Amino acid sequence: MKHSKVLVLILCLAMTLTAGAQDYSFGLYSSIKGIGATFEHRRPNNCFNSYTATMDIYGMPTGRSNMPGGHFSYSHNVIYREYGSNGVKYSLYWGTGCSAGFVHDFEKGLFAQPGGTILRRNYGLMCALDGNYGCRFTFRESLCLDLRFTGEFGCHIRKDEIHGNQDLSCYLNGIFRALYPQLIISYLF
Amino acid sequence: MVISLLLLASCALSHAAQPFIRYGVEWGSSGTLFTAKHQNYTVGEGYRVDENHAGWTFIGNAQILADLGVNITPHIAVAAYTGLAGIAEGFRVIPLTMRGTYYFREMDCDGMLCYFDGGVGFKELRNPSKICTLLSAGTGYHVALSRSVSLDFLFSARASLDRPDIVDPDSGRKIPESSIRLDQASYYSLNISIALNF
Repeated sequence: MKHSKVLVLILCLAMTLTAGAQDYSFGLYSSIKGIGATFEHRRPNNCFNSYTATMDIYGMPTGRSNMPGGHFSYSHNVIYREYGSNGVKYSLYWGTGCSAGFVHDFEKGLFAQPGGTILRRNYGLMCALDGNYGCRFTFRESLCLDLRFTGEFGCHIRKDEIHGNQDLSCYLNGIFRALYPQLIISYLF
Repeated sequence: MVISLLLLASCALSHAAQPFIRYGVEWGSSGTLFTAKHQNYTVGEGYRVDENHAGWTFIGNAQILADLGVNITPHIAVAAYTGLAGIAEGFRVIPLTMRGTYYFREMDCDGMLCYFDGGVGFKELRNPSKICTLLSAGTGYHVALSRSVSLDFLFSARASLDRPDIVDPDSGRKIPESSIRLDQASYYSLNISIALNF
């Protein structure tokens, strides 16, 4: 009797997970800002929550750094318009959230100089509020592409590379890289 | 921004048949696993130097490419690729290559593909004569998202053959061509990339 009650409970939990078809998606995040993974949970009223964990690659594409930072963000997004054409569904959405990480902030310069000039400042803790705007292209029931832009406004705390004290500044990369496109390829399940 | 424009343009141009013209973007990462260098030259003081070494290593790099080509048959596509590719540490090129891709099933179906790619990489924009040879062969999985949009997951092996500049260790100046008997460097890498084609 006890075992049958446990079995019924497990079955009920399994049914709740499978009842909401395509309420979850898992995706690959690609951008010149970083690479990582995204998990999304669809909510009622055309909303979804997005959790993204990435390696921040600031400085790496241009040879100024050889170690990525870590970046995590959460956002609550609202799909405000949807329409379909030629078998493709387009969903426009916007959202807000927060992010945190251990990253480099902006430093002047683009490519590493001959002689190997690298990013001088240390990595530091970043926390910010962010805003997203994106378009989701749903090609099939289970596969979609997101093109998203995210701006972050927050602070960056790091150890000064010369004096050793703590420096606090506005997180400039969150503003300067707001128009860097992010492509997310997601599988819905 | 470029990807968004391409996605929106593809929706406007898509029609019932497979489009003849194809264009797209590809991005990915590469790991150089084996390097070999053989240089034989005379330095300013008159003695000859012969350097020959090869070995396993790991140098991580990335590449971003754009392509423009044609779908010749439902199974074969040919395209020209260019962009920016990292080859080794501090060594990046602007590739210009031709790629022939064969789709085992038709292009508007999901399925495996294979491709061969060959061309040159420009080491300096100001000096187009400084080039290296790029050869790669790969395979992957083709996902036909719609009649005009497809997503390819690619895995390839690439060989980069170069003739690097040689610097005299004593004077710090570049060794002239007349003093160089042999100058070969090669880099072999494995690449993983994603391509979005329209």
